[in-house]
Amino acid sequence: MEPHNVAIRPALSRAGNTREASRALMSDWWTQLGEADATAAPVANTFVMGSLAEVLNAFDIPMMFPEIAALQTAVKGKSMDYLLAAEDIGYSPDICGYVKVDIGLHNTGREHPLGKYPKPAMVVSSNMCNTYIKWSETWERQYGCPVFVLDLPGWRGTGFEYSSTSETFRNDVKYVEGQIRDLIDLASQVSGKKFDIDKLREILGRVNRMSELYQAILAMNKNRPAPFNALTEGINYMGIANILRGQPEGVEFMETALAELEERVAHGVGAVPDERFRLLLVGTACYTNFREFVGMFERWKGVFVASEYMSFAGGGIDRGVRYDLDRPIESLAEQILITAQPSMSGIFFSHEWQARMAEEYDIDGICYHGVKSCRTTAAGLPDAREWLLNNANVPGLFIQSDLVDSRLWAEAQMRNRIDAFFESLQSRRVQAGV
Amino acid sequence: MLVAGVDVGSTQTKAVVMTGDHEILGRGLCPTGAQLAEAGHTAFSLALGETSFSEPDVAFVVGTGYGRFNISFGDAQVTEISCHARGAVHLFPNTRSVLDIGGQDTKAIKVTSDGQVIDFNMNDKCAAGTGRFLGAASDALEIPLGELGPLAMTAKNPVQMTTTCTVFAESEILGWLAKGRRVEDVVMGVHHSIATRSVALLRRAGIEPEVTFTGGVTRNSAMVEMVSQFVGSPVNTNEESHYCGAIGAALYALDQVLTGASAERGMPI
Amino acid sequence: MEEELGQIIEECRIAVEDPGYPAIHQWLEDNPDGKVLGHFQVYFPEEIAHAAGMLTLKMMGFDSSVQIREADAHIAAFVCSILRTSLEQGLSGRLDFLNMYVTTPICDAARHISGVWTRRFPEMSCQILYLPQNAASPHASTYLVGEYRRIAGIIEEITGTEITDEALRASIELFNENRRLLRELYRIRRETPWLVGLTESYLLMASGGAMPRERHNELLGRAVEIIRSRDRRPQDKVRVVFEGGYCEQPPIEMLSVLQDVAYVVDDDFMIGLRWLTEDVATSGDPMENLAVAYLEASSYSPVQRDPRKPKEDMLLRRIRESHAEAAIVAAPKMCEPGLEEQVAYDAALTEAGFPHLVMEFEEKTANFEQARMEFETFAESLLFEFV
Repeated sequence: MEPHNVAIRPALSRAGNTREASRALMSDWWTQLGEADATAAPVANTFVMGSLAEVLNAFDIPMMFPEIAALQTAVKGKSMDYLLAAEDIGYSPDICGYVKVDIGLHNTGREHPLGKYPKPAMVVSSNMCNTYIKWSETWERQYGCPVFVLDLPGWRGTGFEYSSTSETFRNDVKYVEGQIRDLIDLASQVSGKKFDIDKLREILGRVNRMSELYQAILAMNKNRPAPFNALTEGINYMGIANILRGQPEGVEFMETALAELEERVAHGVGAVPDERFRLLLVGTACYTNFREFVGMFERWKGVFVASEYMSFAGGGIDRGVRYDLDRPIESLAEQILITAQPSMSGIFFSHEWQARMAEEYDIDGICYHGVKSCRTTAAGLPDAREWLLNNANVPGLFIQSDLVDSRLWAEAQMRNRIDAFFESLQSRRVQAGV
Repeated sequence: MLVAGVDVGSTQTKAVVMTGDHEILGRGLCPTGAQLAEAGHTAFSLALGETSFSEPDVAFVVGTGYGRFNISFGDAQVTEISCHARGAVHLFPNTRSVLDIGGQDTKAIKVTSDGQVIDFNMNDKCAAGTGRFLGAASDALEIPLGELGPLAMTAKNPVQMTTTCTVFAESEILGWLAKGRRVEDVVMGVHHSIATRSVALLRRAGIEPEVTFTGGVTRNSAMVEMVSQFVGSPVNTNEESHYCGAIGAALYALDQVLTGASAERGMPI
Repeated sequence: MEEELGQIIEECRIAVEDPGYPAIHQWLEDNPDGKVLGHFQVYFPEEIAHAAGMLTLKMMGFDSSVQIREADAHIAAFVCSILRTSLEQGLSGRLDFLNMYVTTPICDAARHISGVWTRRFPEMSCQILYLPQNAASPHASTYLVGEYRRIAGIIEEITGTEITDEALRASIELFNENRRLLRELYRIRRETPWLVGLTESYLLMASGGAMPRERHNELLGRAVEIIRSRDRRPQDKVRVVFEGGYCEQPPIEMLSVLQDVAYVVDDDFMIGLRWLTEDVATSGDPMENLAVAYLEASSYSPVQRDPRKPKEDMLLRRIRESHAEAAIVAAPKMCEPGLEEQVAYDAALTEAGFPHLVMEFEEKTANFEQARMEFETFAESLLFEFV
């Protein structure tokens, strides 16, 4: 067992429920990063989509997820301090707020509200989000650290499907596998450790298990009432799935979470008391005004039973990762293309997914929450909304704010739209005679 | 038996007092200002003043609009989206689409034959395409709001506004004037821009006739003309359109009194 | 001769500025069974489509001549203008002639085009071409050849024409000629900028994306000849590089304002048309040659990741090679990659002590007074500095 794992382990036993457990694990994550910074041990910056945690963990390189760190500054009410620091040095108000929070942190002494914000020794970036690449280039310029960009060819159009024998799939796998091998060399160089394929195998096995559990967790919300709110607890599950991907604590956490949910279902306990409306969230959360945002839905006894966020920002873990442990590297390449990659590409063609989710989870309406920070998840929402309404008769609410930029939050407008949406859902119900 | 609807909007507050037979006995209108609760009460009192009744005679009051939660004498709140929909169908029973250009929000609503909301679309956070854009023009040109419509109707060669930002509208307006364009052409350009964006909101859910145009901007003839032109057919308006939100609120109040069905109608009481 | 040049530029202007795409419709009239492939910015290997007899249209935005009526209902408010305008063109039926539409995931907003088009035009083949974002990877070229072959397969299906190596080689030759002429035009700009105006040069160059290349070569060849023979004297204007036009284009009127005060000796307007910087080899496997050229002999932009080409170094090189005295570092409004790169450019130019102006533009701007003032003030500050 590696030392940092030992440090994280007690978190689970001392936590009474998964909410506390995730908080404790998150806090241990920050401790670990702070220690790495203090001892100048190499830290890798990586991203929730396409993190390649499997490879980084195989070298015990601690991972910083700047997206998670950025949203945490907003939850702590501090994001604007950093964001404005970045705007002061020339970053436009129209650029992703996560990027600016991170740049602000790096340029104001790297003091994050939850701990020391480490310097990256290397970066694992990817084309899952184009902004990742531009973002990574800022560290490349500031610290001269190596930036590895994992290039994942995505869906080539709507209805795109890989078959394991198709030429496109084989061509893509070869490309991705080559890149993974390059990353292994880089990680070995940065960490000064030799690559241990058996260690990778173990990690892959644990990701398989975590993915299985994560899928089971998501499916729990097919129950009525839904045992968890995808917008609140769901984000905790996702956070842990990212920072502890392939770690024993990650598996343990998912097991605990699933058991907790099974118990809630057995006792008919819902995430929102007297559940009345079941919603699907498309887009992301709003972290600057997280409680108010959630409250506006809960007031109407609306619960998010599922979210697209828990899919794409979970790095494909929701799609059933099934690594073949007999051929770890090849299988890593294949599975990234089959799970992580579609969780991103799917965003652009998600109308069919949404229609299916509406059926499977018995959803009353879809909340499309567009955040200016994230064009990846937000730019096409109005079009998808219209498609769902007209082709699948699923009503949708379109609202806009931001992840971390509180200037984009307008409480009265937000509440007005949300209230009106619930009023219309209610009328639909009356008309349907339910 | 009487009910009332009070619509505390971002610029104006409107109130109506209605009988159980849907007859409007009194109307009240006042600027909203900073004291939302006071404005609500003033409008309500003005409406009552047009009748021979007093506050205790009103069985139920529904508040709507931005200040709906500030109406201390109200019995329930419903959003103005639901209220405009309900009011529009009441005024024009064949209404299937409703457009309300408000002070800071423009709403495009698709409704059923009994006034229930099927879908609605609103502007994004910025005030482009809302009544505020007209306010910006009025300020920049120092022409009272009420005169903008008639002036616009005299335009022969309207300019094409390119900014969608209310903040930049003023400088673009002045820019056009500096280029020597006529005031009426610039003013018509502003109307054109608002109408384009508003009708774009209607299109999001598909424009289904008849279209009823509601709210204070319906008194602006140029805007009614432009909206009709972009919709492709004349839109419904009448002298009651201005009070549409308050009328819808009163109808919700009536539901409550008659059937106790407010919760089912969409009021989170 | 000037009259002839005027006619040429007028033809180019119509191709670039007329939202009705007259040059495309003319071609379709002449080729009633012809198929058209549209592609969004920045780069697409048009040779592949050409080899199957397909006409390509490089998607551009438009100035205020195209009003947004429908597009805003389909796309969030905080995206750039070219995305909305090009979608508007589609939704208003002006692009009904397209048989295929290819986008590349250049930025997070543009990645949505294919989904929106697919939902709106289910009959059209909307394809996403994933150009390598790990361009320095030794595995990139093999991958890209495969990707080109995939696209070629779809084109073959749509046109019913097999893309033979011979046909592809011939197309490469045609496009090589086009690239050679464009390099000539830009050489004139660098060496004798007083011979050609920025707007003339822009229209001559950009029109290649909106008319058959055969015709474009004719026009461009003749225009370069006439321009070279012009008898004009240099004026006292500062020499600047314009950076920031790799995708959305500034309105022509803004370029006209700019050319009044400066010689723009190099730029990145419509860089996709000039992405390949050298002749593509015609011997060997032509598909491979195209892929290798994309990776190994190509320009740069904020939306291609290639660690061998740090963008600020590339910009400094462009400035040095054109002997510019200053740079205008612009970005389209709401363009995330452009705005992000702008900060790096600004820092690098500041560090190099090189005068530059940082600004935003939008294709739909109608008021150029602010731009004029910025350009004039900037130019004056430079002239003053060099007195």
